[in-house]
Amino acid sequence: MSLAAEAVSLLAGGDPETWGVVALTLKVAASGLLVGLSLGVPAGALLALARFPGRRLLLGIASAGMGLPPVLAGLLVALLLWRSGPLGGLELIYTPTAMVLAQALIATPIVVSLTAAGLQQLGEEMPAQLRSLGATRWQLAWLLLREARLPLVAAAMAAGGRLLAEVGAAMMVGGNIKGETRILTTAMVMEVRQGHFALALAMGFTLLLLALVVNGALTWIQQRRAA
Amino acid sequence: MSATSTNPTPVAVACRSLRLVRGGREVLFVPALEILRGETWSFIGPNGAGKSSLLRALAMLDRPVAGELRHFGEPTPRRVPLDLRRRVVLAFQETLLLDRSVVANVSLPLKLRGAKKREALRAATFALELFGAAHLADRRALRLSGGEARRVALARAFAASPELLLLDEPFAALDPPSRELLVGDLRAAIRATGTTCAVVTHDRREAMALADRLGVVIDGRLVQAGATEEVLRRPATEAVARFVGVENVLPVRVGGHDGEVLRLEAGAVMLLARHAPIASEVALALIRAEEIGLAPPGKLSPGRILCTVEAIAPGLSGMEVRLAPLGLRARLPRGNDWGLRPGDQVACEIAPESIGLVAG
Amino acid sequence: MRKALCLLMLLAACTRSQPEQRAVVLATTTSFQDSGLLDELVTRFRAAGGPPIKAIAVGTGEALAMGERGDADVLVVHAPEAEEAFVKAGHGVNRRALWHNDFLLVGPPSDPAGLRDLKTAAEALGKLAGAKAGFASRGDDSGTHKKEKALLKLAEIDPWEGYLSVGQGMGETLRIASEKALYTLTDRGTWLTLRSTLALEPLVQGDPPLDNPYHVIEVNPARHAQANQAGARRFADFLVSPEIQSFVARFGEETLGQPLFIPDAAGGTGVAGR
Repeated sequence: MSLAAEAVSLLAGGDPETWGVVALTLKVAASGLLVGLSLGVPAGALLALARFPGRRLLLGIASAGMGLPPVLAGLLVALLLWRSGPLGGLELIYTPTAMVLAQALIATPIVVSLTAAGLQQLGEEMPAQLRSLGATRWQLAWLLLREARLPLVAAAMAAGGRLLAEVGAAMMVGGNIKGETRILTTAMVMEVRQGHFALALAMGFTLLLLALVVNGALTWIQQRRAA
Repeated sequence: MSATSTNPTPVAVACRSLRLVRGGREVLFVPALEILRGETWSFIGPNGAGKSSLLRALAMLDRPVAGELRHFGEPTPRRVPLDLRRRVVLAFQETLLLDRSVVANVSLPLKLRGAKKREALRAATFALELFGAAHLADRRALRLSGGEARRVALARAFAASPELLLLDEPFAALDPPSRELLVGDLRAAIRATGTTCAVVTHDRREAMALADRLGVVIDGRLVQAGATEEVLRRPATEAVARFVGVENVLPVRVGGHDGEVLRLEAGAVMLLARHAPIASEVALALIRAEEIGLAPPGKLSPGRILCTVEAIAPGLSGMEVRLAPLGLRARLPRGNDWGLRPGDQVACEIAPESIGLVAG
Repeated sequence: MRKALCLLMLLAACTRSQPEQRAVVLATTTSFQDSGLLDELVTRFRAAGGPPIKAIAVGTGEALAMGERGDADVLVVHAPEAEEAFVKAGHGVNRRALWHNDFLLVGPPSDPAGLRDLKTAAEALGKLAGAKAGFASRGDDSGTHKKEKALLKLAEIDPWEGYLSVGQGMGETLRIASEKALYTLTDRGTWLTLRSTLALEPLVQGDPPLDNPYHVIEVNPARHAQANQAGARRFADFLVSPEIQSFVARFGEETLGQPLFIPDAAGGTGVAGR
């Protein structure tokens, strides 16, 4: 058990480089989740409520997208952002922004799918009933999203969890650069490779703790009684 | 905008030659319909006949593909402005309450219209009291029983005092005692608020209890509309007759007429009906069970037929009697059947004005 | 959509750093990173006023590919044949020797194939193939993997039953070899760092073909206009400078008892190495 003890002491030690890695992990995952929610919730709402040709196909694609391998997401973003790629001029490769983009690509299908499902569960006639009671389009959207808050927060938790644990895309578009794009997962891979197991474990525990805290906060929001 | 609350037109909604299409199929055709302010209408018909589609069109949720539609005296625009849409409330068959307190649900229509908290609360409380649900105010809406939820949904529909209130099967999924209670409360609420109301139901007794005007929708068409009594007594078609529960639909030959009286031949039996212009020789005579008077056999005359009891059995509203030779179904109040038994003879009297006629 | 893109580009253009301080993308190998020398040199370069270094540690194959695409400005790799081809094809310029260490064959202490004290790598590989002994190959197109392939080619040996392609870095490959009692080829740097955690022993070393030279190559600016030529040159010059070369000569003495690398740069402005 000395490995675990070493890990705990490393955690408590408060090494600034490690805490920098932790902070960046949170920042990147939070940003990726935010982008995913900003894109995914409206898209999911549109797919759930509007009627247009190809709607079912798009829902199917979003569903399939939930299983998008993160490393594929990383590769797709890399192809865009490499200097040889169409957006190479933006010089975004190997930056946290690139990592956020890749993570947004992973998060969005999850959010779209679960939002659409959550809204569809409210009942097919619910939007019409609320409109008939006098809701404008915006009031309707707000009411429905509020009503579907449980599945929506679940969507955020699912996407957030996925992002925190993700390593393939972060490695590919971030490059695990010390002090710049090194996050807990990519750092862990490197430390394991170098045989620093105690440090890797410490990082792993920290990651678990992060996931616990984030999920706990979201669950609290989800289960709070609304007026 | 002409009509204002200080000088409202008498017509709440009117339509002519209205056609509604859904999924490429025509689901409703309304030749003509006029709902006046203060009236309570009931639309009845078999399931899937198109009644809900009618309500949706009146609520301006679905746009008709053809025909005229006017709300409150003005033609209804293709893009319905918010203020106009808010003057009509449609409560769906599913109660569709939100996951919050009852009072929050009922005050929703007011909150949507921008009412202040106090005003919304006052109106919501009033609406809840109309349906005897004020004690449920702080309960969570999704935890209510079926009957309670239904009352809350109705209160919610009434809360914003709509100028036209449309209710789709408000008594669905309730047990008979609850239904009866609710019918009474709804009628009282309509009277108390003077709301113009149209209720869809497939139960004609509820229609009779609630509404002064009745519309019958069969197979996607509004086939008859008018005063409730009128429709029930004078069904315009055989289909309507069967649906409104005319028990006796008799094929007859139309004979001659003497002044007010028209002779109808049902086999060997002659019936006398009130004279009405009827083109064909063959017709259907429509007679309600309760319009058949039964008396001990005695003097016979045209209009008084000698019949033999074929069967007699207890029914919901009394003793159901089947009579030969015409197979007429009559009804006797419970406990007042004189011990009639199959094989007994009895005289039947049918007033001429009780016989409806439909071209056969 | 177009508008958003244009806005993004405008933003990026506004925030593009000054040319002198524009970051230099360094593509290098995991063995260089794992030795710890990479972090040290990058820190010192920064302290000396150099532009920020974005060090991406991947397999040599991928590093060279990055150079070809123009996604890196400067490379530090250890695969001489591939490097020569790279420069010949016009992707890189100014290839200079940095330092070297060597490879060695390690294996289980029991040494079932009897490699201990053989003198040449060719003999050792021949014995492994003959005994169909278990061998862990990195299989990831890294410098180490290329060296292994070159050695096999030299000895005219084909992969045998028991030759496992692992597809991972040196640390992982050593661990797998240790757990499954396999033989493997490793660079001295990683070996020295990890040996205490492994159940393996050095068996064959010192044969000249086992040399492991590192070079620095600047990506050809004529091919890639966006390459940070100035920064790349500055970093490369820094690496071959006498101060850094003598630092490298001592690197590893304290922690591992012997230096990890032997400096090679001739005077700081040398050209093509071995």
